[in-house]
Amino acid sequence: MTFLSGRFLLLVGTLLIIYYILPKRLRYLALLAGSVAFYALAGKGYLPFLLFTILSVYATARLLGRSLDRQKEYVALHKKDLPREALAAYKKRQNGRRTALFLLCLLVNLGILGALKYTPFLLEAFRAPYAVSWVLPLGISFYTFQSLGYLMDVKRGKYPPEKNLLRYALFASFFPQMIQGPISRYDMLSQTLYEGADFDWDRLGAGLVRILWGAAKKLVLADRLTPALALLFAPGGAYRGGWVLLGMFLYALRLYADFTGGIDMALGIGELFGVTLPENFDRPYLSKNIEAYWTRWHMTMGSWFRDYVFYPLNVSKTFLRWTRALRARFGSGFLSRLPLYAATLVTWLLTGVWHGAGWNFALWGLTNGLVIIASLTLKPLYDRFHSRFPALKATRSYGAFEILRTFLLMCLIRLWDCYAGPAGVWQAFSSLFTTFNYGAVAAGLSALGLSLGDWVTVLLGAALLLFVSLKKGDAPFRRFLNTPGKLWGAAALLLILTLLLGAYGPGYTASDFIYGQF
Amino acid sequence: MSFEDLLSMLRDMHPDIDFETAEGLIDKKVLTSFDVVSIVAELSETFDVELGAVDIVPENFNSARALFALIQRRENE
Repeated sequence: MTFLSGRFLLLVGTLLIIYYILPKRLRYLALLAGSVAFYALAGKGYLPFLLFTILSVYATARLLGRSLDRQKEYVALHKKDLPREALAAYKKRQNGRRTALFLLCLLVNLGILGALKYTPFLLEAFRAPYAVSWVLPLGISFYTFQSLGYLMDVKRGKYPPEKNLLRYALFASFFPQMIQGPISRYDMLSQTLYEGADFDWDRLGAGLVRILWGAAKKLVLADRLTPALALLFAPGGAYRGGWVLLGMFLYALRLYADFTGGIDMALGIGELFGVTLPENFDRPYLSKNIEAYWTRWHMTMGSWFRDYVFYPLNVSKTFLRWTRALRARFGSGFLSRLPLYAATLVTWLLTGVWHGAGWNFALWGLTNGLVIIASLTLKPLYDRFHSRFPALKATRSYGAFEILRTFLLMCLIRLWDCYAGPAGVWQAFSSLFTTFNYGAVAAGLSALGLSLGDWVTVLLGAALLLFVSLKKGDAPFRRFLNTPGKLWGAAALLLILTLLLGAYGPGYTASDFIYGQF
Repeated sequence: MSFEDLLSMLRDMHPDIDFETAEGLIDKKVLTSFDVVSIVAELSETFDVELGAVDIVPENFNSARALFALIQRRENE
């Protein structure tokens, strides 16, 4: 069951009525019941996996919290009568025990995720004499990472663990974020998740507009392009040269419309219940370099890997010692930054395999890491260039060039998403420089199964998305909808547009979101 | 280490930023995640100040004053 199904609409409608009838303090229980119902309806046999993660992370976090409290009491009690070294040794011992407990929970949960996600691929990759296949529990990558982020925060003492199991269970399983995120942080989400917001027509309208905006992106734009992209990227490689370029642009549009559309819907559903989920995009296609792009695309995943993998690796004693040794030997040049680059590659490799099991995902991650490293290494050159032409950077045309350059680069890296295997990616990539068939592409556009009306819809849709991005994004556009009339009018307009222009019927699978499979 | 020492180190690393007055260095994306880990490595090497992943939150790196306050807290522990 996903956002675009009758059963889901029925579930949300029923839940809304129950939620606002219940007393405020009990409303979070309605959300929990709704989340359990959603997950149980989503797939047979999914619930035990979710339940295990909830219980194991909840119990471990409570134990970690108790250990931290005991440590605090002990230190306060003995601050004056014990020497500093003895207190430090005590803290170190306690921290060691907490780390062991934390690692146990981490490894078991990652083990489950890893076994379910990668076993079929690994058996095939290592040519095992047998094969297995199964459907992954819905959202397992998202809820596992959200839960482990919470566990790490508790271990670090960022906030105390949630004592109420039901409240914690709701944090880990809140249904709008189960399909494709966003990956929430407990300290942010808990501010509104348990509040039991008062009924408010304006908020309901705003939530509805956000949901319909997301549905329009998904149904009118993303799904309209799906069959054409399936043709362009079909194994066998009939479409080369200019077709690859066209495929890159259409895929960028489809991925953006599909993923941001799904996130809009998740955030809008949260808003219906007064729950604020974190924004996941900040106009990524307007980024001026790849590093900035990754702070604006799938932001909750990027910040997860930054906070829980990249930072800990870089500031670990081992990496700092390594940096020191390299600096002592080689000064402050490229070689002294090897630990930083190694941490970057590890982070990006993990980000790649988080998306799925397959060589392409790993290579996609490594390509991102390598491009980031290259841009860091070349930064002194850029700086020198700009110091010679200081006025250039401030011009609008140079800004547009930087945006276009980053967009093209990200389109190229995304070829890993589009073609099967490194050979397929290489053939498509190299054809960009060897096959100049742009005339044939222009003449053969109708062969992709899109009518003139479809192309006009796609172009107008892309222009609208660009306009919204230039006007500061999906969430703040509501500042223009500042009266109930405008708000409900926009909702009605979006609904009509989606119903009239949405791509339905054979060949279209409205229920599938690209990120839902991760 | 003094606040002046920290300022001098930061100026060497980023001559284009006025650390004495700059605020919101993380929130306004003036410093990137690579800048942050480079600062942590430099602090470790030059002043033997050890900061952990738990310390890397925007509040601690938004200004030189906030970073200095963090270093003092860690040194007093």
